[in-house]
Amino acid sequence: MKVIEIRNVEKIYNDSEVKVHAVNGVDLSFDEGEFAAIVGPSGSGKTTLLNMLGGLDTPTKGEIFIGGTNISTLKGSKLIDFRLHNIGFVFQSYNLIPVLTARENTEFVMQMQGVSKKLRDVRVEELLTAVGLGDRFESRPSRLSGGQQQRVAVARALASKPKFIHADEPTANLDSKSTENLLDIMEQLNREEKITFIFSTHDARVVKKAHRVISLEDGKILKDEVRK
Amino acid sequence: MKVNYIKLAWRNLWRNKRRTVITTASVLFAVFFALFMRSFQLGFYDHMIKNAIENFSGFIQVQHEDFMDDPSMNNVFEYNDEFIGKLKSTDGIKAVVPRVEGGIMGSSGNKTKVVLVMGIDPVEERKLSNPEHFIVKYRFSKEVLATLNLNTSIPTDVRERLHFLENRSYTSLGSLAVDMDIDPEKNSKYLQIIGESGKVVRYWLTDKVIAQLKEDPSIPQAIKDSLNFKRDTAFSNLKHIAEALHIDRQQHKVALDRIAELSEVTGEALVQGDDGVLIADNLAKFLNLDLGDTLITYGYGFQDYTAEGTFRVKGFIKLPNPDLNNKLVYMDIEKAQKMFMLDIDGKKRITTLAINLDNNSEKNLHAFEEKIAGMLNDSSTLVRNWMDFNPILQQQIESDNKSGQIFMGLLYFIIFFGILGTVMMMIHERKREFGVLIAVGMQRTRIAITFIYEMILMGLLGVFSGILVSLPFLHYFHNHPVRLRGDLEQMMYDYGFEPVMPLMWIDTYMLWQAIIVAMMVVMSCIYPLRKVYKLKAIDAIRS
Ligand SMILES: Nc1ncnc2c1ncn2[C@@H]1O[C@H](COP(=O)(O)OP(=O)(O)O)[C@@H](O)[C@H]1O
Ligand SMILES: [Mg+2]
Repeated sequence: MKVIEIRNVEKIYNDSEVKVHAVNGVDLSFDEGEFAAIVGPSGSGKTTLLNMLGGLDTPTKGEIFIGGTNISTLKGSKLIDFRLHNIGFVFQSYNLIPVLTARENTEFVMQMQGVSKKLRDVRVEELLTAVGLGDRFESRPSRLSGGQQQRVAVARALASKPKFIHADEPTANLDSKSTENLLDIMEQLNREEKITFIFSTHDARVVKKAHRVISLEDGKILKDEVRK
Repeated sequence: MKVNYIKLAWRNLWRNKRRTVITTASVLFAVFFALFMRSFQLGFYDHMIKNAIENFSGFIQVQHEDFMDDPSMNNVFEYNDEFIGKLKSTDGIKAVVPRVEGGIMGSSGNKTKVVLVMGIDPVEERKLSNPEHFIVKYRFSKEVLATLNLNTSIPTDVRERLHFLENRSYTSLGSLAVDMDIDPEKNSKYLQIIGESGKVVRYWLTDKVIAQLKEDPSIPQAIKDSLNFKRDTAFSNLKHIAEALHIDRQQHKVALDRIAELSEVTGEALVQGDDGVLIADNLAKFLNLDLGDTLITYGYGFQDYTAEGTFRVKGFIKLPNPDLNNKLVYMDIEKAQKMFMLDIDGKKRITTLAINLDNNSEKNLHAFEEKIAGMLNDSSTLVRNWMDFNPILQQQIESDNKSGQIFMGLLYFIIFFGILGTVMMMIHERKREFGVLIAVGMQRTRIAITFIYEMILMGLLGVFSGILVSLPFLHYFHNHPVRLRGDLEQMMYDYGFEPVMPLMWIDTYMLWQAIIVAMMVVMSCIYPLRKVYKLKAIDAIRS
């Protein structure tokens, strides 16, 4: 079943003197349970594409469907609500709310979704244990390493039971060991829980782990290959 | 979702103490400065009103309708027991005091001056101007200070401050310490010594004293005999007594001490029907009047009869208002009526009924003015408030209050930008946090509500701690008013006030200052809230 459908999407940045065609006519779709990487050199349009996919930015042209909803037409608070219930986010850095502990950061989205305290507690425990932070529940982000913070971010992204997880260069600020560790955890969650991951990277080691690799250049899809 | 925003906000504050402390402190200082400033201003007005109105003229007076324009003994009215009784039993009226106030020539020796006589009921008057409170106990001439300066039992640092006392009069050792700017507790021993030297005292051989001395077996007969020739004389010191009685100080020390003990007079309050007068300190100096000396008065009384009298000086009074300090003479009201011929036909006439209220707000003042006017039963009288009979003070306060308000406005302006600056800094710091929250699905309204709660909590914390921090300062400077010196001191004296700047203690102004600062906190939220509503998640995350 298709979770995401991108139809002839374009994004043109007009704000500077020169027009930038950051995404230039992309057609793509993702099935449930994919573990896909969007790769390409810096400036190729990975972030722009992912942001539109994640409902953080709107396309200049074209349509994006997530779980059958055309999110290109959603605006304001509806779009925010859509993100809350359908998309999990892992950003490059500064993902977590500094004043909240690992537990609270994970719990927070569920609280906004209106999940009961009992269910939240169970799920937080489950998720933080799954990302290997069973002993760091009460740590604030400043007490966690970069890799640990990204794992909390993954746990938080999963907490809302989204249709897919949006991760823009999640390993960009991590050393190689943490990178491998984070990827292993993501892959395991993908395999065991059938969670859909779409992440971008320009790191060859990360690309290696992906099951599908979409290569982007100048806003266009150059290659789209399935590995496993 | 049901969210406990207060809990959320509180957690945010508690978990980022640095930010919370900085923001709260900006509010705290705002409240502190606003309170302090306003307290100074209001305290000053209060001080002026206390000096001139509450403790002297009263807030309201009943007068003959022409008395204000022509304060002569022809514009008087009859004392009416029933009316006064009614006033006294009216709720909200604190004091009703009858007075005879009039100008007359006062002289002693070859000096003459127009004096203001205030005939008072010594008991009733305690509730209003209370002259007892102003009786001078110590006076410091150059000579007294020169002697003290040689007294090595007083430490040098205290002696160096003695010059502050030159030609001044004091009602207590405490106020003397204030003028010298020394700690009264630590220096109480030296204050005693200084006080002893400057003590206002005289030895007055009244008939009563002489009679007592004559019964005393420790006094030799020769001295008893010579006492007869010094009947009713007052002496400044023992040496003068010894000389006047032709006795040797060494040989008759015991007798002399006994005479001193019995004849000693210091300033004393008037009693009902008193023959003596209390005379303003500066006036006494001008007329060269000492305790026991005689003041002679001469002028016009009721229906242009001649008014005259002789009075013994019972005490000096130091009034905060220098104008009064140059001319006031307190005497018993019946003596004043007699002198001014106000009782010529057996009636008791007065010039003024001075009234004080429990609550001196302007609104209450006007309400009582009307109420009392309705109770008047003498058509020649009317009710005046202090703004009528002391328009200069009223204008002074009004014009000062105007410039005071401009000053407060300026202060608020600075305060507001102080708070706004801190809040903007805070919002800048949290841009990414808010960006992530919006990205992962938190509605802007929820962020805004949480933020407002945070601001409210910090605002309240700041306002309350600001008040709390101010209290000890306000309390201290209320009780230990800043004393002005130099030009400012002179200026205050010229305006007619004691040169002190007491702070206003707890009052409604505190509430107002707190509300104003709270409003500024609310206003400083507008910019951050706009920011939250305009914030784009991707921009915030990227930056
Ligand atoms: N907000 C923006 N305004 C203007 N140009 C932008 C903006 N964001 C990205 N771009 C441009 O769009 C192109 C694609 O950028 P981006 O999607 O960030 O690429 P990548 O994530 O692959 O590095 C780049 O040329 C970049 O400079
Ligand atoms: Mg990028």
